[in-house]
Amino acid sequence: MIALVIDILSFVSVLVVVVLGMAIIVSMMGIFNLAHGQFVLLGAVVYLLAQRYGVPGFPAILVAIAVGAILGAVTERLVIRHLYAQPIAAVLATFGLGLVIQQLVRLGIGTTGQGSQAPIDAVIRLGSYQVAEWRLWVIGLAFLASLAVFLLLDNTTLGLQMRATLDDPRLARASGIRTHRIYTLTFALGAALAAFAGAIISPLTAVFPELGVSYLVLSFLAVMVGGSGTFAGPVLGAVLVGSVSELLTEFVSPVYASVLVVVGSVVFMRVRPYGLLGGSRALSNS
Amino acid sequence: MQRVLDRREFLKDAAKVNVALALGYMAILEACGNSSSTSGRAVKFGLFTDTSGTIAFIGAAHALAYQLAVQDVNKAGGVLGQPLQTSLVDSQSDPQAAIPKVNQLIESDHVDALVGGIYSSTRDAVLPIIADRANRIYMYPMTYEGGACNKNLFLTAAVPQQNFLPAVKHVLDQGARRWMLFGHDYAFPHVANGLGKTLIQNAGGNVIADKYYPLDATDFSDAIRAITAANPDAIVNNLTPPGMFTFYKQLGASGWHKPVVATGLDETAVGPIGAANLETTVVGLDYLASANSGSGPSIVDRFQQASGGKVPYSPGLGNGAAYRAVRFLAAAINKAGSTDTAKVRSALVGLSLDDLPGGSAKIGSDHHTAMHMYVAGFNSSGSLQLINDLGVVDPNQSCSF
Repeated sequence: MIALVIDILSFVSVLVVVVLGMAIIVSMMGIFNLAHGQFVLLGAVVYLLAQRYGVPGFPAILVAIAVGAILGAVTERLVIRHLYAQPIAAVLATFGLGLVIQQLVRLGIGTTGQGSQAPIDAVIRLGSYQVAEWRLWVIGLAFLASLAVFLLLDNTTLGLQMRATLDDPRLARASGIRTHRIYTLTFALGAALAAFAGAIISPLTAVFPELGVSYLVLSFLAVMVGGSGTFAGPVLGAVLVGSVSELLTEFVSPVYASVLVVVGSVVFMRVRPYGLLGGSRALSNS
Repeated sequence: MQRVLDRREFLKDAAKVNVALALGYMAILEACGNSSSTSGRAVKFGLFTDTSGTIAFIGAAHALAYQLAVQDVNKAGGVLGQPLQTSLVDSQSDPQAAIPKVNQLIESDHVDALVGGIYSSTRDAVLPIIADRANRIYMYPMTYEGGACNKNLFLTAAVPQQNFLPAVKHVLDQGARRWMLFGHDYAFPHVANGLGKTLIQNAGGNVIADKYYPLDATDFSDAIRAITAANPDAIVNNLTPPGMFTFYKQLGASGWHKPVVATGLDETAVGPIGAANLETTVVGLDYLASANSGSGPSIVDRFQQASGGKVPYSPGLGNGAAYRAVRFLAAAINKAGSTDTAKVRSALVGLSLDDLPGGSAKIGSDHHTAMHMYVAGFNSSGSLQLINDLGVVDPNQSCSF
């Protein structure tokens, strides 16, 4: 039982961080960033490379976050900014960007997969179940990161400006908020969260070019189930989608479980088209 | 007097030249006979592999294996007295992308026979084009589940009867009775684990779980929980990268220290998985560096030199089979004295070569390849050590033509 709880927690906590990054961008800009999974990959790669150049584990995570943020900001400035009027083109552009990142990773570290070291290399016994200590750290770090993002949005001037821009960009601009700057920061924050998730999970798996892909699909479902337009909705969606997909493997074969998660999400979206907390502020209205 | 070339005059002359050229070509073609002639034109192999996309790391190694095999063929005198020519195309890790590439090899490059493919789905996509429509010989060089039969198809890699079952048998002989089998959800793990299950049960063992994961699965928490709860004597891992990396990390962290039987794993997997997590893994391979240290530079060294260390030799991923495919095809055409498909086909059956990287190999009447096999295990530093030299192992396939 304790094993199942830890497995669900560690799966869900990482998904929450990835989804939060995606949801911030979707909610603010109405753009599904299809390169989001590749920012997860990028975080893992930067963490791996930083370690190779002798940076210890925890600072290497910070390096990954910084690189993710910078590249997120650059992406917004160079690509996304010019496509706000054409959301479909923007989504396609992020898809293309994702391919570019993935192919650069293939060229850079090869396609075989590389192993990175956890900052803490130990195991913990819980009855008969033994688990890598880093898995527990991942749960804690992911929780802290999510908490920090909510504090940022709720309790800082920047957070207020971001929420104002989300509510009504024109009114926000009229009130003196530099919305362009807010958009850049939003994209940087979303990318940084993805990179952070990539960095902390890479020691539990390996760094390979398809690392971000599975997260992208689940994040997409989580945002749809939770409802875009709010920040809490997608997080709830991630908790729901993550726990259900992990719990299902207890009862049915993993192949059916993965199908059931998608089918379940589609049915859910039929019943509640705007998601758990979507209300009337659906993607199409933002 | 200077002759002024007007347009009409020019066209007339040009037409004459064209006719002359055409006649000349016809004469040359006449001299050559058809494409299966023994003189004139150099023999050309069409090679296709996945040098971009998801499995580019396998494709890069296959391309290098082809290159080295062609070098060796040409060093030994080429094919039908001329240097062997090749045309290599990228099938982009995508069976649908492979189809036009293979058509191009046949229709534009006029290749005499084809070698290539990694995914079984790529093989299945191009087989009707190569073997049936174009009536060319097709050599497939990747470990697969067995059972592919076509009169023009020859398979040079190991099947589960050669690489997987001997490894299972070794662990059974060590006394493992209770087994759990895992695999990704595609043909190879289902067939291999099915064969393994029969072997285990016939030996009086017990398979307590047999579980498959979607190909993109990267989380195996439920498998680890089940393993911890049931505590079997051995497990079978027929998962593929990259998901397999996570599986091994989670398994290692869970404190597992009993045997794991895997397929296709070799030293190239130590980087992403970690030597400590592989210490109890047993595999069957057609090449083992420690057992194949003959004279001259080894295939491992040649891969190292040719790629500057970027493409390591991976016996588990069919690199030896790719090399063999070109060597067998060249030897068969030389033996037949022709590129005629029917003649090459009969020359391939029963053909045996001794100077191959892992030892001798022979193509059987089932069009699969009997080859020298080794059961090996990883030591604590991540290098493979010989457990059992099996000698030449028969593929035991039931194709008949």
